[in-house]
Amino acid sequence: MTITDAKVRLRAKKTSSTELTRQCLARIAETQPGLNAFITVLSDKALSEATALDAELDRGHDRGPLHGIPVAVKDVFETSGVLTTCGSLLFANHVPERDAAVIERLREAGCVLLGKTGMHELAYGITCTNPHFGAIRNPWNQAHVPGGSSGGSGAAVAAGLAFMAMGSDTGGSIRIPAAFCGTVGIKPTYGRVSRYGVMPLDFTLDHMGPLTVCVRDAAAVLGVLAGHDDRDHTSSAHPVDDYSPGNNPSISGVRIGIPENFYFERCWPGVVDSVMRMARTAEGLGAKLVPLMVPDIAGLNAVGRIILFAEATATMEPHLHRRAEIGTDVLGLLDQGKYVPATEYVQAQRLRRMFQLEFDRLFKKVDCILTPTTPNLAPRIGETGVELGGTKEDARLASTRFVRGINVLGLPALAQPAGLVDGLPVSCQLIGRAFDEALLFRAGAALEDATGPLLQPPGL
Amino acid sequence: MTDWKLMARARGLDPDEPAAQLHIATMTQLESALAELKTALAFDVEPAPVFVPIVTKREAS
Repeated sequence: MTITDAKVRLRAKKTSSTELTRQCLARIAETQPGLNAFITVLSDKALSEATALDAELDRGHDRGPLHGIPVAVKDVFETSGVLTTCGSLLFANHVPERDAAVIERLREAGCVLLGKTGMHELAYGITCTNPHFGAIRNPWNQAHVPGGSSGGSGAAVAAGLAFMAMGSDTGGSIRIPAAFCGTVGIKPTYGRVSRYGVMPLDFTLDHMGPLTVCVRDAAAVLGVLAGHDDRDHTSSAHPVDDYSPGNNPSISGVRIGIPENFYFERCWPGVVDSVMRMARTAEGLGAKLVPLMVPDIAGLNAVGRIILFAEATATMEPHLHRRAEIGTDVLGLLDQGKYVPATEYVQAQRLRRMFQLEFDRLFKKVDCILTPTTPNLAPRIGETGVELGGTKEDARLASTRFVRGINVLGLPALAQPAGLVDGLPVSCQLIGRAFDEALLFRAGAALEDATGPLLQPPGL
Repeated sequence: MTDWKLMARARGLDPDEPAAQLHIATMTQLESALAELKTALAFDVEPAPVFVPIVTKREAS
């Protein structure tokens, strides 16, 4: 069931927030031994919140589209009085005294907080094979990873454990689990959603956004989350658009860029066909497909990795003496950051500006760009390499190849399902101009409407 | 190109450890990926806007 469906049923008194919350909690209990999507489940608290929200709605106090909707948040968002681990032993006993801005906004909008979802340790990786809290598994095939770092959120939404789950995205951490789990995920423009109260990894690359079953749900959630927050000094005062795509969104005349270089290279068989099918669907709906050459994305990714290594190591430096409490893969990345000279970091930030200007020019020719979200399908748990186009590639680098650069640019990007290959989801990515999330939601909803029923994992 | 082994030693790290060799290989690859791009940087290109004082950013928005 989508948020939109639940909203209608709640107001028609065909269900209640309490009933929806009970159903979600039952599904969480049933699936937790296999999927391991949650670190903390707030059963009693959630039911008590749902009861209060039902009473409010009965009294005629309607908080809007998320009133009474059960949701989950990645364990990177601080929650007052509730354990917030960041998927790490370093924060195993961290009980914050404040709510993150995102939590405040979700609560004000009437969401019921079901719990905190599992994640890759410190949000620094794409597998969610967490050495401390156990591997999170993909609802489509439990032998595979859900993607990361917001993998618990991806698994929870795909398996119907929550109507929405929040993620954070530093180099693809919302879009990769959305892609591998067959959900929608939006990484908004940098500064669009407050980072206040979110445990940081990379302060110039971190973005917050929802994972949902469908595009309209993601639009509804971002409508609640977006807006200026004085407590986050990079929060933007840019006006917030109406993100709702409406019932019959038109993309007639929208110029969709189809990269001729980089983005369709070295992909798993079937990925390119699936994404090009979405492109042709868009064309059938009146959009104009514009072939284009994109700037040096391999270079852009290198810029992103330099910034990521340096900032993450700086952020985590106070904890680096606790080496035995950090997983091997994350420790390796944190050690890598010590090798980045200040000059390389500053040059990367200068190149970042150059790339941003190049993309500004690109967006004079097109309104958005369509690419695969990842070149590969969800790897098996423990699999460190994937073979793509005859070349063996590190699974982490492959999975982030098409998404990392967009964090460097700070542009919005929407990941949404584009079909199934070998029983696993394939995803396409729509990249837009800064603060033009509304267009991405409109195009995404039009494609979703035209491509049929939403994906659901078998047996769940 | 940078002498990454020297850089490692300067930071008190042993560049001949297997883990250090992996880090050095990554830095060598990244440096190579950026070498040509850096030569294209105009002298007056400053760091990305996210890095400029935020007051300026807010006034601009």
